[in-house]
Parts: sequence; C-alpha cells; structure tokens
Amino acid sequence: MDLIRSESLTKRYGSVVGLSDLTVAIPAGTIALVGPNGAGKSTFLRLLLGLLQPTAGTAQVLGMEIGLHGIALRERVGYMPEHDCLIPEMTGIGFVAYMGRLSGLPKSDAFGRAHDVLQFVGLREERYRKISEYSVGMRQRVKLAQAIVHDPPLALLDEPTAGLDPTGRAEMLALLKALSQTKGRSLVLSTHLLPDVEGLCDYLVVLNDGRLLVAAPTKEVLSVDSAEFVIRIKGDMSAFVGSLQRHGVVSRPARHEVRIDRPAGGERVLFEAAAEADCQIRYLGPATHSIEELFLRLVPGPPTGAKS
Amino acid sequence: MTISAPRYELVGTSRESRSRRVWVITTEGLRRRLTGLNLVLIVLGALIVGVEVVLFTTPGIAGFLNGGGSPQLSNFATPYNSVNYLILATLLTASIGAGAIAGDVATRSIALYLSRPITTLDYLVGKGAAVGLVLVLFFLVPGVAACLFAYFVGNVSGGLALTAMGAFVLVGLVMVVLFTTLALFLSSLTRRPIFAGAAIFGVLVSAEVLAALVRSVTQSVQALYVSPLEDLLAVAQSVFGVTPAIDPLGALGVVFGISAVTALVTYLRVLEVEVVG
Repeated sequence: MDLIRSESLTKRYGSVVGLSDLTVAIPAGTIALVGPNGAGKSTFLRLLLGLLQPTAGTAQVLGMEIGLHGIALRERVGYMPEHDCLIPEMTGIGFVAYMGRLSGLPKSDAFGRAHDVLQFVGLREERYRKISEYSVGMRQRVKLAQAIVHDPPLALLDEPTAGLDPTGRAEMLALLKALSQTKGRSLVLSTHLLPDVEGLCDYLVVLNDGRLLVAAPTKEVLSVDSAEFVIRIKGDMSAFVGSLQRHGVVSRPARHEVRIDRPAGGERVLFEAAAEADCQIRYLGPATHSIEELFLRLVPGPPTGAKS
Repeated sequence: MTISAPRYELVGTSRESRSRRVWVITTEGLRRRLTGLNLVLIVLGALIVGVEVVLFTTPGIAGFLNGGGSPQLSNFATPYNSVNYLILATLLTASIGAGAIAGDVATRSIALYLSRPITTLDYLVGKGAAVGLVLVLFFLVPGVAACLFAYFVGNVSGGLALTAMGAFVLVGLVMVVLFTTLALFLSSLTRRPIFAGAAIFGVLVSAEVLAALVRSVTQSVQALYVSPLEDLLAVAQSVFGVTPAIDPLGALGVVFGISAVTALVTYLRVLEVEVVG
C-alpha cells in the first residue's frame, strides 16, 4: 500500500490555485517535499493532515480518504511545525504528555511515551524544566518529541532543521535518521535546505506552482544522467579541454573535473583526446546531480525555493 | 545527546474519545487559571454573596435588616442590587479569559491543537469550558453554598432555600454564558492576552458608563439595554423577584443575542487560523 496516493488532487482558493491536478503515488519511507515559495507544499501538507477539503480529485493517506477522515487521519499523523509553537510555561514532560493526551492517549500512556520520546530526543535531564528556559535546539527537539509522542506511522516535519546551528542541525538530522530507520514509520520533510534531503530522504517530491515536477526515489533522481559524463584526469586540464573541443566534444570544465555531453561516436574519442593532451583519465562515469542542481534545473526563477 | 530508539509499543493502545480530549483541554485550562489573582477574585465574589445572604437569613440580624419581616427570595438578590458585583466578575473574566485564545495565538501553539485529532469546535468548547468553569465557581458555587447555609443555619424554609438555589443556578448560567462567549470572542481578536484582557474589561465597563450617560441625558431607561451588565442585572433581579429597571425578557434577548453572535464570530475566526503556514 502506498503511503500517499492522489488522483488529480486540486485545491483552489478562489481564483488562486494551491495545488493543481496532482497525481502521485508515494511509497512509505522518508520523503522530501521541496519547492519554492507558493509551490503548494503547505496546501499539500494541510490536505495530508485532513484540514482542507480538496476542490477536486481524491487522495488517500495511510489508506484513508482525506477530507472524509480528518480526525482518524490526525490520530495517525504527527505534525512538527516550522515556527515556534510551544507553551512556554509548561515543562517539557508536561507539554509532550499533554499533546499525547490530545491525540487520545490515556494519561498513563501519554506520560510513559513522553518520557520515552524526550529521552530519544536527548532531553531526559531537562524534561522537568519549563520550556521557556530551553534553548532553540532544545525547543526544536521538543517539537519533534510532540510530533511522535502518539506513535504515528506518519510524521510531517516542516523545516525540522530551521534555525539550528551546525551542531544542532547535525544532531537533528541524526535523530531524524534514527527515526526514519524505525520499522513502520514514515517521515515527510518539507524543507528548502536541500543538503538535508540528500543524506536522509529516499523519495523526492518536487512541486512548483502547485504542480508536480518530480516524484521519484532520490537515488534514481540524483544518480545516473546517461546524457552527461564526468571525467577526472591527471594532467593539464586546459590542454585536455582544448583537445576535447578539437574532437567536437562539448565540455564544461570545473575545478577538479570536466563534464561532457555523451559523445555520439562512443567513449573512444575521450581517450584519444586525453592521449593527445598527454593526460591520464582517472575517472569516467555518468554524472550525478545534487538535489540543488536538480532543483535549479527543474524550477525556473529564484535559485532555491524558500518556504511556502 | 543520547540517541536510542524509543519503545514504539502503542499499536494496541486504545485511544480515548474526543470528548475526553476536550476535557483534557479544559482541565489544563483550569489548572492554569486557578492561581493567584483569579483565586483572590473568586474568594472576594464568594464573600460578597456569602456575607449578604448570611446577613439576611441569620435570625436576629435578618429581622433587623428586614424590618421584622421573614426572609424572602428577593433577600438573596443583594449581590445583584448593583453592578458592583458584576464589575468584579468582569475583572475576573478579563483575567481568566484574556489568554484563552490570544495566548495560544501568541505562542502559536494553536497550530498544534488544531493539528491534533480534534475539531475547531472541540478546541473552542475545551477552552470555553475552562473559562466557564472558573465563572461557575464565582457565580454558582457561592450562591448554592449560601442557600444551604441559610437552610441549615439561618431561618429559611426548605422551599425558599431551594427556590433561591435554583435562582442562583439559573442566573449564574446566564452570566457564565455571556461572560464566557464575550471573553473568547475578544480573546480571538488579538494575539496579545493583555490587549484581550483590557478589551474585555474596557468593553463591558465602557458600555456601562455609556448607558448611564445616555440614560441621564435622555432620561430613558431604554439606554440601559446598551450595557450587557445592565441586561444581566435585569435578568438576575427578575429571577430573584425584584422589579428591574428594564424589561427582563428584552434584556435576556440582548444577552443571548450577544452570546450567539460572539460565539459564531469566534468560531469563524478560529477556522481561519493557519495550522500549516
């Protein structure tokens, strides 16, 4: 069963299209939802939480029809907002247990789980302190803890590393990694920090202007581009580039490597060019792309999408 | 930092009902409101009701105050003889109701509430119940307790004590409904609890002052309908058998009208809150 499946899912706000004709089947796992401002990420998340009725089309999350089963859906979905949303006068344990109880957990289970998840996020020692005394990183961890306190099979995490220093970011990513490896748990990360996505997510959904651009496994999207090769050489790079040009190969040199369009006549010409330039080819392989590059290629306009 | 997998063993755990979740919001709200100044105001309100009822129902004192007559239902209405008691209630409402929604909007925790398996109505009912139950402690409990005192200690018949008790409950419920809905409405208009508190107190007291001014200028009691406190007073006096200055049914209509409109607008405003944004 797909984690999320939608058929022509559309949401309009008057004349503004929030999401347009989205047909996608997303498998369980760790999913990145990326897109620039106004791409439709927030609308998609609202629909996934069962907070919005679609204008047209249908969608199922965890096998449940959105719009029809909002309450049942939110029992099985955890949500971590991007912005600060904690109640400062409560203690960490009190707050997380409170959120657990609002999700329907009996009191004893809610407190038991709250202790568990606060230990998981590394706040065991600080759990009885008031949230107002917490640092930004600690608050971010409490937000994560409240999203998983009721043991949801799906957690929607909105910019989980936003506002964290490099150490805090690395710790949060480690937590998310540990969480993603838990059996039966899926994560959807809405983010514009593309490097976060590369190491963590195994499925990528790119939206722009409310439309789906890409929905595919991250490895598949990032790995092979059969139309482009990467070559690393030992020798004079400028001589090699010149030799490639003489052989009619279009090249795009970078600092330590050169990227070329796949030669029509096969790879032999590359070795001939290297021999002419008195260079050794140390690596020749299909080009891989970072999500950032992919994003820039797919989404026209601003270089990286801000939060929508 | 410790990273160890939490025990995910909740698959078989039964979930509590939605009404239970609403009750959780209510009890948390009550826990936060039954402190400091609010408790002082509740005790002060109880003293006003208690002392006046005791004075009018204790043998000896009652005879002196009533000119030798026996206690009547109207003797229980002394807290509602003027707006002073209601001004105290306004202060309490401002203190307990200001942060009901504005506090959640300010901390943005409202997004977390609404992303949980509850509806917007559940959230509002939970918040309203927390405010309302504190007001019940102010309006109903002292009145009922005073009636029991009057029956067991004072020279009041069982029938009269029971009637007075019913009157306190009836009037108290009307008070609770208006003060609660008004507080939630004004709290939903801002993200600053202090502004909401000032608005609750300011609106009710300003309306009272305005009504008094217009009345003194026009010499028309109709002006009193403008003030929700005067409307409440009229309803309360009527229930306790005292002739009010304005028609109590009209006043009750104004009270319920204000309550219905403010409740509806509050609901619509909270519906507009962006959970994901």
